Parts: sequence; C-alpha cells; structure tokens
Amino acid sequence: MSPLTESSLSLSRTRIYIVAGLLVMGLSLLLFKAARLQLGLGGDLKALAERQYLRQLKFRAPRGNIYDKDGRPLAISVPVWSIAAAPHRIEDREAVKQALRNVLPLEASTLDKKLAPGRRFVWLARRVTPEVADAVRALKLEGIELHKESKRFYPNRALAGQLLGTVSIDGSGQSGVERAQDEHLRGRTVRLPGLRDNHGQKAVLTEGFDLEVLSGDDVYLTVDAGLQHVVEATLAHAVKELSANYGAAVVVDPRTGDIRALASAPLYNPNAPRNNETGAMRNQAISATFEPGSTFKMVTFAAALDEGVVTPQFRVFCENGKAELGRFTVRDTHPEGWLTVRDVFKFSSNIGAMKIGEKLGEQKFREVIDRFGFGHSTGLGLIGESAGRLPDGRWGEVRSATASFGHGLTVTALQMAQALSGVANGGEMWPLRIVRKVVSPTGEIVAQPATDGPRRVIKAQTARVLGDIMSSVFEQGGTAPQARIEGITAAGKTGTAEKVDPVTKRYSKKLHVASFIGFAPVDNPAVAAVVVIDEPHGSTFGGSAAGPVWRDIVSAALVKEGLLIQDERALDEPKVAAPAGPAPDDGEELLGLSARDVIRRAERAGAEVVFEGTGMVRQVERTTDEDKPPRWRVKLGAK
Amino acid sequence: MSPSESIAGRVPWNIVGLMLLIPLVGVINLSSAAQATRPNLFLLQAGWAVVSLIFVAVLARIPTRNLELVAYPFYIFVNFLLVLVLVAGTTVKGSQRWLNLGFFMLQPSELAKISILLVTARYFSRYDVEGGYTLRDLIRPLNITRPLGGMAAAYMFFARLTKKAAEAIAEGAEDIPFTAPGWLQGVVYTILVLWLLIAIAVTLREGFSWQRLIAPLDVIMAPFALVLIEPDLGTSLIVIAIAGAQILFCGVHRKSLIIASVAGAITVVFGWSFLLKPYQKRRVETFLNPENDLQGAGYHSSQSMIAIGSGQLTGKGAGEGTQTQLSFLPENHTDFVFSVLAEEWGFIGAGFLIILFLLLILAIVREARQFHERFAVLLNVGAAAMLFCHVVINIGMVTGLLPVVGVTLPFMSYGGSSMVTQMLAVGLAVNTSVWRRR
Repeated sequence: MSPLTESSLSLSRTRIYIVAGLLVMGLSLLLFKAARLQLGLGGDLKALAERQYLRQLKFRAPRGNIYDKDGRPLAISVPVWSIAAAPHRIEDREAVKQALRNVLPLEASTLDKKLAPGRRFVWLARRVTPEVADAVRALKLEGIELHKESKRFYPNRALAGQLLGTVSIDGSGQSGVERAQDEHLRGRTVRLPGLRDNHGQKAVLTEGFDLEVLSGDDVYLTVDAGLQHVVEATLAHAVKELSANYGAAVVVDPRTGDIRALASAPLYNPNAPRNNETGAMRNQAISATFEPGSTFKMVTFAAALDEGVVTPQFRVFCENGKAELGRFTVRDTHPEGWLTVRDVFKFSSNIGAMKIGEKLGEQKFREVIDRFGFGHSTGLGLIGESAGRLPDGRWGEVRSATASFGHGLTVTALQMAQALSGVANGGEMWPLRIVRKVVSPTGEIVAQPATDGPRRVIKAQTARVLGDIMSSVFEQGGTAPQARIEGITAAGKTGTAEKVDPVTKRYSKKLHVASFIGFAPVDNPAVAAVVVIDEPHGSTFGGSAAGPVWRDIVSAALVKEGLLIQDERALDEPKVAAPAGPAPDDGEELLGLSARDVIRRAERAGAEVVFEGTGMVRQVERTTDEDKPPRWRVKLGAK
Repeated sequence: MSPSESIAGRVPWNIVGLMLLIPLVGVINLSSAAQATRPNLFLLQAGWAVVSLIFVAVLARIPTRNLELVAYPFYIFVNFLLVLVLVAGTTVKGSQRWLNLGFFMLQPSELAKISILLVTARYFSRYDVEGGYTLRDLIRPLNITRPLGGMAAAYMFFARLTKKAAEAIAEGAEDIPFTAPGWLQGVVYTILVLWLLIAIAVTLREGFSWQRLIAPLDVIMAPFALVLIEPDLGTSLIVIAIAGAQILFCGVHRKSLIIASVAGAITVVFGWSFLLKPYQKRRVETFLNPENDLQGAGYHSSQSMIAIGSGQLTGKGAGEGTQTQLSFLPENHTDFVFSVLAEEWGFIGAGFLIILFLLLILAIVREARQFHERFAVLLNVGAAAMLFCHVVINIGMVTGLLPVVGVTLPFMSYGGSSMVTQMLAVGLAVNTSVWRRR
C-alpha cells in the first residue's frame, strides 16, 4: 500500500468533510420529502388511502321477500356472483384476456372493448353460475373482481307472475308488487367501516355485523298461493280451450276487501321474462278495460232497488224482445212479455233492464255507479291499473239506457270485483287490499295498509234482496245453471258483451267478452269472484265460457273456507296441472317435484315448508312437533 | 500493526452496531410487510443477515493489503460471471440477471458492486495526477483501442438504424426511422480511420505498453456495460456511481469536469432516445408527469406515496397498514419496503431509519479521516457512495422524488444477494478500520 504524504492527507481530510456535507444534504432531502408526504400531505393522502379501501365498501342488502297470506314464499332473493373489472389496474392485459377467455363466455372483441385501459369499473358478466365464479376466483387476476349480488327468484315460477312483477338487473322493481312496494322491498345500501383489498374483496371490520338486518322489508300479500294456483290453472285451461284472447280472474274476501287471488292468462313466469308469450306480462285483471254487458245489471238493479223505484215483484213489459231506442233497436236473446224484476235479472233481459234504468233516472243511476267506484282506480296501488271510462257530460236517454245493460262504458275486472264484494258484504264495500302487512327484517310490522273501514254503497236490505235476485241466475231457466255449485246457494250474473269490431267500428256478432261475477254463500258471503274471458271461441256466452271457471274457482275457495267439503269434481282436479299424487305425508314421493307442487302437497297435508336452493326437490327432512303443524325442510337443486 | 494488538480495540463499534440495528429493523418490518403473502420471509431474511455477518467477520480478519492483492483477480472473475449470466443466465420478467447455482440464485451484478469498489480503489490509489485527472488521463484518446472501439460502435449503431428501418418497412409503418446516408457513414469511418492512423503513429513513436491498450475508464465501463445490457439499469447506475465517487474524491481537473458534465448530459439525451426500453421510458415519463398516467405506469409510484403519506406522524401500527396488508402497495417486500415502514410506523419510523442510514454512512466516511493509505480511504468512500446511492435512489423513488428504477433498500429489502453485498460493502469499511496504520 502506498501511504499518503502529509499534504495529500490533509487534502483527503478536507474532501472527507465535503463528502460528509453532501451526504447530509442528500439524506436531508429524503427526510424532507418524507416529512412533506407524511406531515404535509399526510391528511390528504390518508383520505385518498381511505377512499381506496373504504369509499367503495358499499353493500346493497338483499331485497325483501314477498309471501302469500300464510307466509309461503312467492318471490325470494338468492345470492349470486357477478364479475367485474377495474381495467385501470390491469398490468398485463393480454394475459388477463387470455385467462378470462377460457372461463367466461365472452367474445374476444367484447372483452377487448370492456378491458380497454382508462376505465375504472366495468361489468364483465352478471349473475354467473357458481362454477364460473369459482373458476374466476381461482385465477386471482389483478383488476378482476367478484361482487356478491342477489338475484330475484320466483320459486313457484309462473304463480302470480304478473301480480308479482319483475325486478331489473340492478334490483329495482319494474312492475307488479315488486314495483308498487319497491320502497319497502328494496334492500338498503350501506357504507360500512370495512376494508376492500386491491382484488376487490371486501371484509367488514364491524364485528358481528349482519347485513340481513338491512335487507328490504318482507311483503305479505293477501293472496292465498294455493287458491291463486287453482285460479290460474283453471283460467289458463279455459283460455286455451276457448282459444280466447286473454282471461282474467279476481277473488276477493268481501268481509275484508282482501284479494285472495288475482290472475291473468296466459300465465307469465318472471324467472325467465323472455320465454313468455307476447303480452303475457300484462296483468289483464287490473289493466284490461271492457264493456261489462249484463254483469253491470247488478249495479242497475242495486240502484233501482236502493232508490225504491222498483221491488222484486214489480212487473216490467219486455216488448217481446224488440224495443226502439232513439234510432236504434234493442233486442233480447229470449223474447219475453211481462216479467217481474227478479225474472228480468234471471233471464238477463236488456229491454227490462233499460226500462228499470229509465224509471231510476240518469242522475240517481250515475250516483250509484260512482259510489260503486266505477270510473276511478280502486287505489290498490299497482302500476298499470286502469280506471275504466264512463261517458262524459249529460248521458241522455240513449246513453243511460245502454248503460243500464252495461254498454257504452268500460270497467276492469278489479272494479267489478270491488262492486261485487260491496253487494256481497251487505252493501258495505271495503276498499280492495293486496298487501296484508310489511315486516322489517327484525320482525316489526312497518306497514299495514290501514283502511278507513268499509263504505256503504247500498242499504243492507237492498243487498239482501239483490242477493236473492242474483241467486236466480243459477236456477233452472236462468242464464248460468252450469255455474251452479252443489250444496251451496250462490249469487251471480253472467255477461256476454258484444265487442266493437276494430275494422267496422260497429258491435260485432262474433267478438264477445264473456264474464261471470258472483259470490257465495248468498246468506253469509265469504267469497266474491269475477271471471272475464276475452274473445272466447266456440262457447261465447258468459254462462258457458266464464261460468264453469267461476264455479271451479269459488268451489276451491269455499273448500278453503271450510264451507264446502272437498270434492274432486268440484275442484275439477284434472284441469289443475299437478301430478295426481299419493297421500301427501309420504316424504320420498316429493323427490323430483317442483317447489310449486311441493307447496300444493304441503298445503293438503297442512305442513309448513321451508325451501333451500332452487330447482327440483332433492331432499326432504320432516320435523314433527306436538303443538305445531309438521314442518318440511325441502332442499332443491342439483347435488 | 502487530498481531498482539487487540483487534477488538480497533473494531469501529459504531459501524458494527448500525449494521446490526438496521437489518433488525428490516426483519421486523418484513414480518409485517409479507405477513399476508409470505409469512416466513422475515426468518429467511434474518438467516441471510446472520450469514452476511459471518462473511463480514471473516472479511475483517483479512489484512487490507491482501484485499488490494485480490482486487484484480476478483474483478476478472466477476466480469467472467457477468458474461456467463448473459449466456446462461435465468431470465425473470425480461431481465437476464441470475445464475442458477441449484441451491441459490446468484446475482453477479451484486458482486460487481463489490468488485468495482475494490478495483477502482486499487487502480486510483496507485495512479495520481497533480491537479486532478483530466479526461485525457482517464480516456486516453490516442490509444489505438479508442478508434477501434469507435469503429465497432459506429458499425453497430448504423446497423441498428438500418435494422430498425427495415423492420418498419416490413411492418408497413408510415414513419420510416432515420437511416444514416452513405456519405455520412463515409465521413464517420474516414475520421475514425485517420484517428486510428494517428494512434498507431503515436504508439510506434512512444513504444507499446499495456497503457496503450487500456484506459482507466475501461475498467469501469466493462462491468457497467455488462450489467446494463442484462438489462439492469439500477445496478449499472450504482456501479458508475461507486467508481465515479472514488474518482471524484481523488480529484478531477476542473475543465475536464465541465466537459464531462456536458458530455454526460448529451449521453442522457442520446440514451433516452436509443438505449432505454419502452417500460423504462414510461417510468421516467410518468415520474415527470404523473397525472398523464392512464396505463398504470404511475400506479406503483402513486400507491407508494399514498401508503407513505397515510402513515402520517405516528403510523398505523405494525401489521395495520391498510395499503400494505390489502395489497394496494406493490412489491411490498422488495423495492417498496420503505413504504411499509413509513405507513405502519409513520414519520417517526421513516425518519428514524433515514437517520440510521445517515449515521452509518457518515461513520464510514468519518473513519477514513484517520487513514494513511489511499486505498483504504477510497474503499470507505466507495462503500459510503454505494450505500448512499442505494438509499437515495430507493427512498427517492418510493417517495416520488425519483423515477421508479429497481434499486433495493440496503438491509431492508428482502433478498440474499442484496443483503450479502451491502454487508460486504460495510464490511470493507470495518476492515479498513481494523487494519488501519497507527
């Protein structure tokens, strides 16, 4: 080694001090920069950091369920995974695309577009199967996230499809009860003090937090799923048999105004909105308006009797089936001479009804029509409900006359059901109700549609007399002996209204709206039902087309009420698309059935059912408790 | 220095204390940084620290004079390894940097740092010029190897231009890159040939010697170039910095210093245009203009700054760093390990570490005050420069002060090669103190 000379040694020392100074300066710069980041900008950067892991920690609690009056599930939310990307975080775009192409059914060009740089969030595939979700999770790709969403599932498929309605992919109600009760059903969105890592996985920090608490409220309908099923099956069968345009049926408990069934055929399955018949989504029972025809005579007679202008035994001359009305001619199907008011109703004479209407006078007639709620929406709250149309201004002789036999004005099946239930309930008409109660996830009742009580539309005495008159329809010589229910005295009315031909703009001889309204039993009504069949072919009369449907529906409802002994013929079982099963409490027999069929079986066995999963029945566990009804735990879906 | 004299009495305990303390901080920090991904990593790192300290203990017992003797053989061996790695190295993420030894992935570029430290000290301790080195002393432009090297470089450069243009034409690109016209190539080669003739004439007149072939700068340029083309920009810059610091310490003629600075600036511009890979350019561009980042090139940098800043004064607590633990922070156990410390321990932790580094580096430089041998002084200066560059480039890049280049933080970043290299560098400073002449 070569030692340094004294002079170079001192030079070396000087330089060492210079070097030390430079080192101090350099590292001070780092210290300064760290201070600036941590102390100067610290707050801002901390906020930025929090935004990364806290800001997006948004939870959408699942949507509330919809149940029937006895708590049978009609619409439920099931968890499902969706796949999204944060393209700005993806480093190796090609590798990510390559990996995803193998698991997601996406076109290469679509994937290119979605993963284009610069975007912060894009959905790649919504609601994928658990297999796809697992495959994507296993890839552990940077910038690819899995989001838990909930999907709406209707375990009974088409049951009450139009009534329940649909939910958009983002979880907001689009139609039916889903839309009407959206505010309650919708799951609350919460931001929680939690973490979200760079792969989009969430972890809630709050211990013991249960997102279920923030679920939407559950809505309990007044509908009886079992009855709804019978109504739909019967109605759909008739619509098909008669090659009709549509069918609508409403079943109301006149004592409360609760709607027990509200059906529209063709049926609609909200699980697969695209696979339904065109127009099936429309709930005809609330939205279709039609000229009621003879069923409206119930209103005419109610008014005339209530105002005391006629009595049941009052005689009316029916002009032998042909009467002049201004420049028109009114005809009866069965020409008659002098008839009592009761027989005018029984034979459904238009001329008789016209004369009764004349005696009543336009003013009073219109008052009663209004009292029964025609021309207004029933206030049920469902979107798409029509109000019907009454002629404006002064009606005059012709309009009043045609109105008395149900022409020149339009109504909905729902309005007819409401008016009918008013007559059935001794003249006290309850506002119709579809929602029984709304229950929060914690079990509190948050809403229970309050009613102002029933509204008196006609005197009790009038209602009683009218009930008796209406029971004549089922008598021999009446318009609907086919609709008679063995062992029960019912009150009813047929309607066969001619439709205006859309081409000629005149009443057609071929196009009809067949309808039947009626309640039972006549002296203590528990069921009021309206059946409408639009443009039936073959059997076009209200009595023959709609009557049998009404009979089957009401029979089933009366069985439920315990007012009629179950009888296979009355239920008209073959029309109901359910497998003819053996004794219902044989567990193994349920395997492979659909949830809907299980509900039917359970109903007959008086058991409560709890469903898990979706699909067909895979496994059934039964528990029996001394005090409680038997409970079936039914697992659905593939293993 | 008699053997009877106690070695313990001459051990610089301040340096040794810091080279125990800083790795300890590093191991603790790693136990948090990698707890989610590689929970046992900190134990491995602790193992490497112990192994490195054993190396240092062995190194401290070798007389400094003997180190001077092995400087050249070691240098040749390392350059051989650097060539080997280009031929048979393992490629990771596009860089061919590792030699697979079966039990260990050796990174020869790390050894190159130690080697350049020794060889520059060795060379310049024996080569002194009154008034400082001039560029002419360092480069020796009239050596015959200069014009020959120039010819090779010109040929490669022109060929590269031609190749690029050919590729562009083949791809049907609209912009055809520049190609040097024939006359320009002619002029360049003519100048080089004249230069060669002059060099030959001078050599013939003054007689041949080794110094007619090799210039001081060649010693530095060889490992620098070999590391740069791996490519490993960060390490090659460290190599230049170590040697540069030692040369500057010896003294460079003022005029030459100015010319070298200007030439350096030109090289940066040239290097930007032709030498940097697209990803490196993007990093620098992002650094200069982080808001323009759409591709995510600035993602690492901004995530790092968020992590550091959000630690504020006192930090979020060990293992509680949200950005680290939720993997927002990239490479959190290697290049961005400082951000973990800063997030979880705040400015108190970050400042503490920076001050520990400052104390260590200053201690190394301060020891050199007492040395009477130029070789020993230069070793300490080189070791200090190496540590300093690592610390400044790494912390500078994670705090957004400098563009992101892959340089580890000594004793803190996970990695065996890095740990051994840093320890050996500090070990050299321990060695010089132990064997200093009284």
